[in-house]
Amino acid sequence: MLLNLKKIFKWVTVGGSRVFLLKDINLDVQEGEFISIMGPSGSGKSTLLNVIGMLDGFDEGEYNFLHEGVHKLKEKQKAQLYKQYIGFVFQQYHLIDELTVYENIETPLIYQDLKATERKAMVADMLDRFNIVGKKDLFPAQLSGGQQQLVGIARALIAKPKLLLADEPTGNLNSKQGEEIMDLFKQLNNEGVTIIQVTHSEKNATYGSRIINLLDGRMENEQTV
Amino acid sequence: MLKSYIKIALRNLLRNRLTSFINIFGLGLSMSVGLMIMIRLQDELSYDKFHPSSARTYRITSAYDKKDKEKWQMASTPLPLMGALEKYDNTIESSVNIYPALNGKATAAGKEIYIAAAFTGPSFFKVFGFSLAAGNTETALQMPNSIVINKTTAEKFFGSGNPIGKMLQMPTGTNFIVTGVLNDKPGKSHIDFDAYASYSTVTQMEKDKVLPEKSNNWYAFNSAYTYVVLKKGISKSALQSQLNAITNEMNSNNKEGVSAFNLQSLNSITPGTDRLENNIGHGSSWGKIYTEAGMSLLILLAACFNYTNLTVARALTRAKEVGVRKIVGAKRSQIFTQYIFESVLLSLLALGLAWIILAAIVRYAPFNDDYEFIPSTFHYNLNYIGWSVVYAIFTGLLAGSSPAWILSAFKPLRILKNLSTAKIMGKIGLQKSLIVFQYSLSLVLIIFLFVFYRQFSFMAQADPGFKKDNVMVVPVNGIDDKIAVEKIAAVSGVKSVTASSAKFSKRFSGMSMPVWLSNKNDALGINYYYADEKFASAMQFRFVAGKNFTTTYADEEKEQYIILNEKAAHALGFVMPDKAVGQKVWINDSAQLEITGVLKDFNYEGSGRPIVPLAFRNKKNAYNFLYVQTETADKKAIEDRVKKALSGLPSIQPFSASWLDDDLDNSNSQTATVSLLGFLGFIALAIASLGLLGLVIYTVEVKGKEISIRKIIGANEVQLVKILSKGFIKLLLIAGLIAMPVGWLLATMFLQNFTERISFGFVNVIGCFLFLLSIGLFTIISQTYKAAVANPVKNLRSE
Repeated sequence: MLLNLKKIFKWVTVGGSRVFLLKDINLDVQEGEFISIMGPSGSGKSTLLNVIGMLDGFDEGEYNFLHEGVHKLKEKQKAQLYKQYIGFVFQQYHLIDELTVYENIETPLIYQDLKATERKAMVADMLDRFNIVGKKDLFPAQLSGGQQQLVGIARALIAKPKLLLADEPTGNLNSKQGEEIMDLFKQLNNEGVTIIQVTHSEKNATYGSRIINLLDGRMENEQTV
Repeated sequence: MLKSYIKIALRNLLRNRLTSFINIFGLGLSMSVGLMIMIRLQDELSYDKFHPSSARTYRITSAYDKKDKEKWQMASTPLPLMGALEKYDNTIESSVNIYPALNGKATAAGKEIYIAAAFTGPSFFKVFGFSLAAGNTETALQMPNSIVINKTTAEKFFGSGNPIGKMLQMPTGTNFIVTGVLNDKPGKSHIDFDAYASYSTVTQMEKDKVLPEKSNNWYAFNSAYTYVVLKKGISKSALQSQLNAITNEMNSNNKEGVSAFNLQSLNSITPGTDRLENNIGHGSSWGKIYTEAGMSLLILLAACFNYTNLTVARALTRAKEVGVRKIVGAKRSQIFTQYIFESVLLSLLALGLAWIILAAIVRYAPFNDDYEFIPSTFHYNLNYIGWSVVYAIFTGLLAGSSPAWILSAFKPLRILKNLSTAKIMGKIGLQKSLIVFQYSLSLVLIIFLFVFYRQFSFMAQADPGFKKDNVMVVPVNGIDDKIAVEKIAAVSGVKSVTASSAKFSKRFSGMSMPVWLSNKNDALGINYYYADEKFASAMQFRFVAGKNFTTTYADEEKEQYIILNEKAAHALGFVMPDKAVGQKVWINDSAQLEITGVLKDFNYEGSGRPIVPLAFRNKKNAYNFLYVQTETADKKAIEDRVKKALSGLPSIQPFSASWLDDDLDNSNSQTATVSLLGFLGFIALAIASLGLLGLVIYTVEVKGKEISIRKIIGANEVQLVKILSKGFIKLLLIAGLIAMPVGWLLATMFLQNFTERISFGFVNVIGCFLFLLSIGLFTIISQTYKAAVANPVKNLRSE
């Protein structure tokens, strides 16, 4: 098992009463799964993804990641954990505008103190795989949305994560670009990467093996595709 | 990693050119002040480095605690201490004392020059490592009435002639034979006298009652300076206990107080401490150095504070980058280092700018006049450059650490949530009061500078009462002035040549003497110049009574006449100037001069100073400067022709000349001080404005959403600018209300120092304020207008 959530609660206190963002979430994720989280706006999809990604905390419950109790970890240890095992893909791509495609992809490796020659080989490999070798010296602003998202995914994958978290990865893309990205996800999943994505699109959700529906922070139902 | 840091830092600097420029400009300006102070500091620290055994050399200082609680610490010691040290030859290798009791007007070879001289012994050369260009160091200060003079003094008195064996008379009437000429010092020293006379002269001079009897007075602590070189391997404490033995004996005989002698290492004399009295030398004290360093640090802090504000203000736009970096695996320390790197790189660039500013300051010396704010002996050295780089890195750390700390603390989740309304700096009350303070200070400076400039340019234009145009002043430099006058007079374009003992300048540079009519007790101290008989007419002085010196004398060697100004005539008791003509005045016990004329008063010192009594005397060989009256023509060409005319004569210095009107205008308009004040004022204003700019940018960014919403519901641009700018304009008005009265008061007080002064109404102060206000308004509106015209949808979309 890659991770499991047990009775996760998250709330904010407004005017003395609790407003629940997440309510009694129980979820097991096996390695190699491809899960889609769906639900209307404000249902807690992104919050759940952030909790899984350890970017956000929770108020109650247990979260085990690779048999490590995340709820017991300190901020620094959590950061250590997600840096090692989790890659993120965002709707707004979140590339660093000041860096070229090459440098954006290279950044995670720099923070892992890899040698320059090693980094070079890995980045070249990734550029090759995503067919963006010709774009490596361009800046994000010079790319189309689809291309930017490709770079975003390449960056998320370069550190060889076990889990890829994607928050509406196709939300800013047109349907053709979106389809390409989803195909890529499918392919990655086939290669063994576990993926959890948040999506509004029924169609994109069907790429996954499991769909979780959220409403008002609660898991409504779970369906297998 | 390093490469990546540098790359991203450079790209960021290039990307935000305006902010980078503001930061580099602000930091560079304030760093240039620090660099100037560093030059001064290096100069102060360069004292006393060449003395041969400086590690073993000590100065003995004295302390005296009087019973009634008065306490003194003095750099000086009583005279008999020197003799008492002789018996301690087991610890002391050599010792010498310097007794500076011989200052005054020295006369030699017909010339009178003020010199600062001290008595000292033959070991002087051994202890301090001074050497002689002429004479023998072993014997030069052996015999009574010997004197050793420095090169400058030798040239002033004797020109290129050999000074050895010549006689020099001090005002006490004592004659000295020149036995040596000092070489120029190899470096700076706190021991800096024009001449050193043999200590063995003191006994006779005390007998003659021309020196106070201090030779055997153990309690005249303020007499001399005593230096000892310890034997190799002997500790300071060994000598200290011997000194204690001396003071123990002194204290047992003295019920009034307690004396003590201490040792001060030669290296710690300059810069000295302020609590040591009677210090000698031109060196500064640590107190002054700390004050200067503190001032420059304050200016630097203000600029750093601006950098911090601007960077934090812009942090909203960079938060995304931080968040992304953290999500892809950056540790906080890595982000922190990256931002520190950026600020250090920026301050290194600022150092480049500061060096350019400094190079211009060193090259053109705009802040130097008689007082050298930047020592002209300064030359670039590796040490200095190294320290300035350290200084830049320090600046980068100082400016960059707090934004780096704030930025690196961003939680990565913040970039996923709504960030643009986040207030990073919290309440900005501190920043606001700082802006008010900075602007108040700038305004006070501007007002003061304005009145200072106007007053001195007014004075520079004032008529001094003599001819200053087309007068070239040539130092005689040891040439026979009679021959020089003839040579120059033959040059084409020269109308006439006259000679005088001094040059008209901001401060009186002639001599002074007592003058009395009948009773010596009523003697009047009077300034005087020597001038030849053509001087008065050439300089167009107006005679209110009597006439000029005659050109024919019965006895050429004997001085006969004197010309006074009105002030002098009045001070001597002549109500009507013509009554003074023909009267005789005593100038010393044996010489009388006849008043031949009375001159209308003129400004012989800087204009604005009150005119005090002045006399002209007429004596052969007493002239140091030639005044060349020229026709209106090319100054440079005439200089060249005169130079050529003099080229055959044996001169000790290369030819130099200056023009009286330039010299007087320069000194009267106080260009150096105006420049320095202007520079500081500019820095203060620039830093204040940059600070304001940072605050406005921050506010506009934080209020981005509010602006967009207001615009969508119907506010027009003017209304938006008003809403955004109101708070800042209020700050400027508060600064004005504080600074205008202060500035006006300062200006008025300053003008009280001048007899002839400009009128300075409050209108001027308001004018200065309007100037400042317009700069402030420009700063504010440039940003608020930009925000007001921006497309509101953009701001709301990113929510």
